[in-house]
Amino acid sequence: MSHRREPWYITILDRIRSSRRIKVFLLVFLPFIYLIIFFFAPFIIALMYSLGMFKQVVYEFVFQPQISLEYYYRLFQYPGVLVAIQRSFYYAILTTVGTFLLSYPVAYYLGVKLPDKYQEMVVLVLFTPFWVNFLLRIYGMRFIFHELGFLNMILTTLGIVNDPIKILGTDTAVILVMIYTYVILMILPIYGVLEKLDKELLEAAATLGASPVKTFLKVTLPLSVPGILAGSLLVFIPAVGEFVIPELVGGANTVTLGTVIYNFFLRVKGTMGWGLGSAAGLIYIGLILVLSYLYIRLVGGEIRLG
Amino acid sequence: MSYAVELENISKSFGEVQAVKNVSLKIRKNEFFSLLGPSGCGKTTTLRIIAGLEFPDTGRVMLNDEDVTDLPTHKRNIGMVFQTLALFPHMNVYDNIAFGLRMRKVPEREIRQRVKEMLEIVRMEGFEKRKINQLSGGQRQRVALARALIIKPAVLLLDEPLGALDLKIRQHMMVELKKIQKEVGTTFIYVTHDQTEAMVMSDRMAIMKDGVIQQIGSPHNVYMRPVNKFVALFIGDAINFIEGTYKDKGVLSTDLGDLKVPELSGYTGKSVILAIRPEKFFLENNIPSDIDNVIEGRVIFSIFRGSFVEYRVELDNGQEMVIFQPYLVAGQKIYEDGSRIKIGWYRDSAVILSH
Amino acid sequence: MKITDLILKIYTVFFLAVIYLPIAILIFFSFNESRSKIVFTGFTLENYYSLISNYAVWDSFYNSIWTAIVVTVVSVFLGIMISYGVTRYEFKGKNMLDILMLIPIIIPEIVEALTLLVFLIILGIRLSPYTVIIGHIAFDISFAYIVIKARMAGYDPQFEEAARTLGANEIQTFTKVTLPILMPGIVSAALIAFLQSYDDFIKTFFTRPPGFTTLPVYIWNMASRRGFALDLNALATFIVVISIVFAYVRLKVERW
Repeated sequence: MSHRREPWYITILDRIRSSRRIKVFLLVFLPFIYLIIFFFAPFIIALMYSLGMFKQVVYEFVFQPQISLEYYYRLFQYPGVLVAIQRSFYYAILTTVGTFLLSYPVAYYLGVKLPDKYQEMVVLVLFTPFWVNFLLRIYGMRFIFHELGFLNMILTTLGIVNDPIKILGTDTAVILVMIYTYVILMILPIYGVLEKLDKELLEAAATLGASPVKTFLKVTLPLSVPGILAGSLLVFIPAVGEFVIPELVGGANTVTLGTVIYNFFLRVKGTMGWGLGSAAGLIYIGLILVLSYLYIRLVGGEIRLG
Repeated sequence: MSYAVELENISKSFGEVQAVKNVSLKIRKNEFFSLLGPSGCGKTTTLRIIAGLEFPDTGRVMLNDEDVTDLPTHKRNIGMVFQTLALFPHMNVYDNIAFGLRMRKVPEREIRQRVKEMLEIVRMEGFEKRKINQLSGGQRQRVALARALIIKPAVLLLDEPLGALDLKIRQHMMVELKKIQKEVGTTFIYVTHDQTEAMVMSDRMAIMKDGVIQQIGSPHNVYMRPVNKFVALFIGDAINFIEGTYKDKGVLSTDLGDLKVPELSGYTGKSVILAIRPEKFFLENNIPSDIDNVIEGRVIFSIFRGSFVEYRVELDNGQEMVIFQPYLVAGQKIYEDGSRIKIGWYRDSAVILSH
Repeated sequence: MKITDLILKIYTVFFLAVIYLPIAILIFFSFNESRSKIVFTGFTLENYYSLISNYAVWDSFYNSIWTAIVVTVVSVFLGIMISYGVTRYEFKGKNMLDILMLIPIIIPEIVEALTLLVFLIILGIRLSPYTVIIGHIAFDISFAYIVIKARMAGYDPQFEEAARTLGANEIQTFTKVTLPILMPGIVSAALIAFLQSYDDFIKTFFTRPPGFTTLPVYIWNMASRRGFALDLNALATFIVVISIVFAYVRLKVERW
């Protein structure tokens, strides 16, 4: 026989090739173990920790088979925590609504009205700023909201206000900056839905006698619901846990759930700080799970058109 | 005689599905051989087994008298043109064609020479530097062919390569493929579900159904002498069936009366099907005097198809027949809808099929 | 309808202008000489000189780059493996795995960061640049996976079969065909993974050892003080330029 002799590694490969199970294990599950250890396991550990299942002995943590809600109880007793959670919801809801109202016309224009040949360019223009580090963009907002800043300059020049207003350090500043930071997460899914929308549907509605307004209300808007829901989820979830923006443009009265977590972990520290922080974090995770579940139920189920 | 490819009792299952059932085939050297059948008939699996891209559960694969059943693809000397063509998008035409030679460590100088020759054969001179996405469908076809042929394979396997082309280009490529095959003198095994492609190009073909070979033969043989109803229906544009009971001495008893049919032994008393191709009929005044069978029918409608006229005729038993009449002379009579006409045919134009 | 279209168009342009405004203002003030910082009084390159001579910036920049490179290499490698396995083979739990791979992207970083920190504390693992890297890889695998998988979905397995019929063995098939064809997807994934890591603040902030500063952490340290630091504006100019280059390169790669 004239077969070429193969090097040893080919022989091993031949053997691996003959078993699909070995291949799937090596290719998929071996790398996935990384995520199990460094992503999923920490969630379980943090949950156990918040339930008092680890006790510190000198420098080591020892597992103790008990469940205690002490950290959760203490968390809600902690001054300002309840208010901070309420405030987080308030911010997140306003941010979600605000991003939706401000971005829907843009997503609609890009997805439905803009000719295809400009799509790519405009989307690029839209995206580029979001490639710039978000801390810097937030820092830039300080120049706008400052009492001597850009916004007050315009407001006083136009005579809308007489004296510069104080925005930095207020709820308004936090919410506006949150809207600014999260708006892209709302535009993306809505644009994605509208761009794929069969434009003949709109023409069909018109031939059936629907006015442009009717067409929008009865066809376009209902069809963009999945995008709006996805956008709302993408904005709301991180907005609840936001801590960078309140720190950078807020003040003493803009403490949020995120700030609480941050403070417990990086300022209070120690077993108590970590315990309270874990409890706060797990409440947040619980919220995320509930919202995601609701989303899947809503989008997975049938959405009525008009 | 030595064969290019021999399959002996090949079977292959995918889970519950038995894709190929006990297939045996002998493909001669320098033959253009087609595997023809509807989708899911096992023709592609058979081809992939020859290529070594699938391994049979049972049976033996021989290439040029060498048992290659367990040999991986890259050690078999085969060429293959894929359904999607699978031209490498990151290489230009030259690099695509040279790929097989480079794998064989052929010196670059020789590669250059052979790619040049190959491009001449497929009539693609001057396209070396082109990117794949700059080629038309037909040009891609030629490059895929050149890439597979340049390694001088013992056999070239083609898996429905013309499927994606427009009708006109496809017709052109069929003739082109046949020419190239004659020129390079390589065994071609061509898989298709399109009977026209198989008829046009093949020296011989195998018709498959449900993983089983139904018939092997030349296009003429398969068209004229189908072995069963499936082959009769699958090959050709149309066919008419008349059911009946075989009497002795080449006579078939039907509800249209006794018909003269080919003389066969061993069929006496059996219920059989008479199959007649639509172009085998004579109508009215054109019926020769020595015709074997004449029946009557009523024209339901006619379709002018250019080189011929297609009639749908209802027989007295309510059965509908398809009849093609060559359109030879301008102003030739076309029988009107509803008119009664006589239909005649020779006994040897028809085939007897068992149920 | 013409009038509403026009209004929409004007609004979109205005929207884009507002999005760019903070960045434009940052760059504008980087040339400000004033000590009051918020009022523009005169042009200077002083802030740039002070940035260039700032050792802390260079140190954190260096840290950002080398950690991001390690993170990118590991997560793209693992991402290729998983996406290749998932697109090429059928196995039990594949859909489940696909969903699990998305979770690190959906979960807010602060949650990932705090759970990882607790995990590290409980196991008694000392914080180091490597704990930062471990944390980054955990979300970057998912980014790499999604980008490469999207690319593989349009990849024809017949490419590999073609290579094998032409005489290539498994290794040659992978190096000469599979890898080059998937290269745009891999480069795109590497860019995204790099950017995610290089730009990450929250996870780094939670899992870094004291004194270990990356560029985003440096920016945070400067920005979280109440005032304004104009060399941060100068830094912003550089980062904006780098970001635009990034965005442009990515676009090129996508079209490859």
